[in-house]
Amino acid sequence: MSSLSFIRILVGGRIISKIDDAKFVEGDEAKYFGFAKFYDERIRPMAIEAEKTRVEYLRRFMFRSRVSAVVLILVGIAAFKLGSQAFIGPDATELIIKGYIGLGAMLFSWAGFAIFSYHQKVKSGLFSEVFKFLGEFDYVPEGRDEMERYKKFCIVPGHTSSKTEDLVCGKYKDVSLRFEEMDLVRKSGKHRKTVFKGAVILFSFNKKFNGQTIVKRDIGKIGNFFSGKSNSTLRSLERVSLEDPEFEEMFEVYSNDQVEARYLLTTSFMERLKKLLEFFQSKKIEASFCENELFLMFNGSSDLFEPGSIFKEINLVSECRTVIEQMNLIFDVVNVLKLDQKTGL
Amino acid sequence: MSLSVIILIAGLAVLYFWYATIVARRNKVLEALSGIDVQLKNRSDLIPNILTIAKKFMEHEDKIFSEVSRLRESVSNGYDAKNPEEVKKHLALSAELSQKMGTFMARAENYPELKSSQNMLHAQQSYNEVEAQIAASRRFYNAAVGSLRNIIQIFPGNILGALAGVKDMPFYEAEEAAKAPVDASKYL
Repeated sequence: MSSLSFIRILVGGRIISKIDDAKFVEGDEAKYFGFAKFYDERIRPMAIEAEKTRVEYLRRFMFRSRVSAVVLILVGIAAFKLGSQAFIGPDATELIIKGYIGLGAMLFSWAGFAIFSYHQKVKSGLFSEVFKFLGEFDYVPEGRDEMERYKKFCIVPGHTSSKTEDLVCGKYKDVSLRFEEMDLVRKSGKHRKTVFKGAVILFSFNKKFNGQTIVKRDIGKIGNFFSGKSNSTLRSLERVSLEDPEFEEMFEVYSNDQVEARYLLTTSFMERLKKLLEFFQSKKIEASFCENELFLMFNGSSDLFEPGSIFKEINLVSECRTVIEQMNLIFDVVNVLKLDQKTGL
Repeated sequence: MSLSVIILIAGLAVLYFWYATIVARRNKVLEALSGIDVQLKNRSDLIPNILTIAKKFMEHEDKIFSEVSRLRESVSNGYDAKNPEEVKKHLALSAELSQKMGTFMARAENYPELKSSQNMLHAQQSYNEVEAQIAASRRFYNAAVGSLRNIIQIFPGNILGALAGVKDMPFYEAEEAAKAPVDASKYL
């Protein structure tokens, strides 16, 4: 649908603008209770401004796309004519082609930046308002690259660059949580590899503990052996064998305290950790307990907190539902792992 | 060096590492057992405080008070950690004490004033925490015993184990009462 709208507008079609005046219907789900009133008071008044913003950024994107297309066509013709000259050797031709591709990439990035800016505007405006309904949460759309904070957990893969977005900090059922999406890339010469793309969550944990326990994905006997040898922290920890055979097949557990590892990873906690894989549709989850905090990494999880398409009229009800549903996914981690249950001296 | 000598040396090396592994696993069991004893000591230290708080409210429950006290003293007695029979008896007493304390806590629920006492609430929380630590220590001990059994029950581990004086150790099993089916009609 979005690609058809894009083509229609690109070739001169009219931008259809419609103010979203719909009411929010709570339905039976508890997560929406009380939101209808909040929506009427805080979100609906934003409808006119929101749609104006969308049209403004869409017009900006279309202008830039058309300019880029014209420039590329003209430069393409000139480059083709130049390349066909007899005195131009193969090296120069290759340079012309690379230059043309580079120019194309720059121009489309410039055009695409308008969409990115629109998304950031929606996130910092509309999404931030919705978070106020959910509790005392701080929402930072561009994230806050604080990798040093996560390094002590020793499960963050080695990387040369990182990009973060959608940082959410706050408390749910008295459990402090910090959610962030991140992309980690490792560059080695010309070779570039994404080592992590997904979500991380940091929780305060309800039990007191002193040591470090790491739950890593099981990658087979040989993979586990080399992974353990190459990581200096894992080398200093002992392997912990647990009773759940399915859990043992999925994960490898390392700790500097065998008793504490079992104190944290009770049989029911292991069950709940396995359930999380389904919740986040993640192919891989790793966990680390350190200094009274639990750190979870979900690799390959779906992208959360993304606004709807710029090519369609803004649907505030739909945007709000998305944010509430996705935040409840994060709350479900607390519920599933029962992090709010207090035990202890 | 002739091939037969090399094979002999390799064979002796394998036997030595096998023997060393048996000893290492036995030591792991002893380490795990001492971990349990640390937590049992913590529990022993908590029990008198709980009984003192509860006595003010549970005036007619002398029988359970004396049973808990008796078991607490028995668990605190020393034993030979390398003797499987003494270890089995020690762990059985500990399991029995857990079960008796469970009964005691259930009876305490019948005394609303005791239930709402802040001192009792705090003591119960501490006690639950120690029981969670005992459960974790028990799982570690059982894992260590399982690992030891695997190596000394398979040839030539059984011969090497006998030579090293390493004996099979008992698992720390749940108390029999906990395994028995619960009759809900008793409580309704």
